[in-house]
Amino acid sequence: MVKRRVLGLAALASVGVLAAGCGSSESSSSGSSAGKSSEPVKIGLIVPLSGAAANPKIYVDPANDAVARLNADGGIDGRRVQVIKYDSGFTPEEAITAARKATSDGVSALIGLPVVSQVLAVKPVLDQSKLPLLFLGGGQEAEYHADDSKGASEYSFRIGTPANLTTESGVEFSIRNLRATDIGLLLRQESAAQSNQELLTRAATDNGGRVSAARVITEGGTDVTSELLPMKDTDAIVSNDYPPTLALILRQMQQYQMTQPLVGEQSAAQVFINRLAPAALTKSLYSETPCNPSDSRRPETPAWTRAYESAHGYTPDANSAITYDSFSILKDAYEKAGSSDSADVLKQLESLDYTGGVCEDYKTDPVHVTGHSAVIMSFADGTPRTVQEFDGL
Amino acid sequence: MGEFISILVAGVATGCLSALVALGFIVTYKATGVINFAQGGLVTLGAYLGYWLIVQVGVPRALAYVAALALMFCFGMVVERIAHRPLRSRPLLVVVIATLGIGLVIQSGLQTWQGSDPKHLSTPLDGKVLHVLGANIAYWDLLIVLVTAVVVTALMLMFSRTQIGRQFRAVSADPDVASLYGIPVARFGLIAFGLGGLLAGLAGLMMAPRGSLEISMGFDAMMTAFAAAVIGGFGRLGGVVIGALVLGLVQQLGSAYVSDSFTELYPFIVMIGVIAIWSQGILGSEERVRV
Repeated sequence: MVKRRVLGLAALASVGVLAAGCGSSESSSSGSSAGKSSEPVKIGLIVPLSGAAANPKIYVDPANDAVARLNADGGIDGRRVQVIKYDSGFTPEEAITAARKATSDGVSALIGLPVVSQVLAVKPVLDQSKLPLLFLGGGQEAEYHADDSKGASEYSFRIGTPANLTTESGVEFSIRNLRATDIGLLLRQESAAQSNQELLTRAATDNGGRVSAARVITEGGTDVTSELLPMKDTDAIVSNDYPPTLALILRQMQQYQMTQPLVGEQSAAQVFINRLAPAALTKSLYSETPCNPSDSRRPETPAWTRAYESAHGYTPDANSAITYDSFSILKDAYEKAGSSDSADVLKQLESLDYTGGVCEDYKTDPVHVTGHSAVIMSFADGTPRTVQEFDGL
Repeated sequence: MGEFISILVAGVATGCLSALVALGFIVTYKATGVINFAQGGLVTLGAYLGYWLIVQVGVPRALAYVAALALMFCFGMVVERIAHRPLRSRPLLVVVIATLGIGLVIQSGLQTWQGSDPKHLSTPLDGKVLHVLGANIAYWDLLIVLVTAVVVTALMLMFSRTQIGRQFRAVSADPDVASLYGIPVARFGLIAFGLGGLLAGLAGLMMAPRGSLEISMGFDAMMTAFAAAVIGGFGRLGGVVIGALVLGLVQQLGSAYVSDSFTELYPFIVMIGVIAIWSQGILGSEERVRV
């Protein structure tokens, strides 16, 4: 077991070096005053390390891998990279506390924050400290608008699928591919629940279907009977809830003999990976996610996924792939900037065009969203298979 | 009709889970006058112990449940030794806060031990349902109701028909007088905390297969159970069970037929409403003097 783990880590390191060579060869030549410093480049990983829906390993493991690879590859401009972990929880208050702590620790950039309200909450901290944040949570509210005080900080960059794609692709897939007409929505309890419902209802109508039932699920509940039964006659259920609730929905769908597909967001992949529901139930589960590391056509991804599985003993999902890529993106931006000056780094992130990611290619658009593709995964045959790709948006 | 029955049964099952947690509160409170806020952590611990024994160690299921409950009885007594016994001379609030602190320590310890990614504890009853009048009732939900009924009956019989139960009641009524009659008051406190731990563990074990195991599962259960205990009149077993069932039903029926926007608020809306009308709870409270 130990030998297998060591071999896995070795394989991962080699794949990392290979991926770095493929992806950022164009960026490694720029000189930097930062390169003369012996101080490590501190990068803050600001993710939920505790809480009901937390699953820190999917961020921490790829972050450690990425840092090991960056350091094996000479660091950033010759400086060793150090990752410091901060518990963002899931609330805006926790995110602000964590971001302030990171600022006082002197980190150069932040990676993380999977919840939109948190990205918005840390805006004043980022604006004041001029600290770049590569965030992982979707949501239109967290886009940056130069001419509007609303939205995220200008130092925030969404690494992953744009909000409209995150919100709508599950509904679009249900109607177009699964031939569903009546859609049921089971929404996570959050401040954006109402706006999410409106967006999804509009997406259903635009694609020729309709939302016939929509309910909000209370966090931490152990029964979704009253939310689920109104969906009994729908053709498909779309949910943006977290893995424990999705698993509960699947089990109670079985109880009430509801056989329609359940289409979730990235969390749905976690239900499969963490075996939160029996295989028989995940056959009707689909996951909308920026990429599927287990079934990707990108040349560097299969080897990375195999090495990751070997090193950590579980299948990486899009969160892990994006976290890993975020470190490469930062290296690229810092080395192209040629300094650690925040204005220079900001400029590089705004003009980012990075093609070496294991999840996807990243190119920053005017609202600071860098990912532009999404896939739908199915688990019907016991492995995560890509059944639909949305690209080029 | 089928849908209404399904929602009704779901409400009863949810209420029974709250009742198990609330009974843990009451047993401890009756013997010591302390509201043990470690109960939430103990619920989570019970569920994780079951998962550890069954899934990770591979102990046969029945044996694992018995072992987990025995361990939970011991953990309950440990809570008494840490948060109650040494602090008996301190203000009541100090003891209550100490129990809350222990709950948080248990939660952190579990996170370190098992990680914070959610887990699932399956049972042989997974997916098995009983069809009644168009409703699909999960066998596990029926088991929850059955187990709760057995526990409530056993506790009621113990308190009313046995020597130890009578001594418990004597301690509850007046610990100083009970002590004069030679009743080992301190030992009863220890046993009460142990029983509270056992009931919390039982609630955790019954709760785990319905959802997923996660670190804060017991805290949510504890909050609802506390509301149930207040509604029932703190100190009365029957009242607490009624309170828990009312809350489970109100949550499910309210969410289905009124609005799903206030599901988590319903227990506290009901609690405030009840104590506004009956300040001592539905069945009235028992006067309690702290040990």
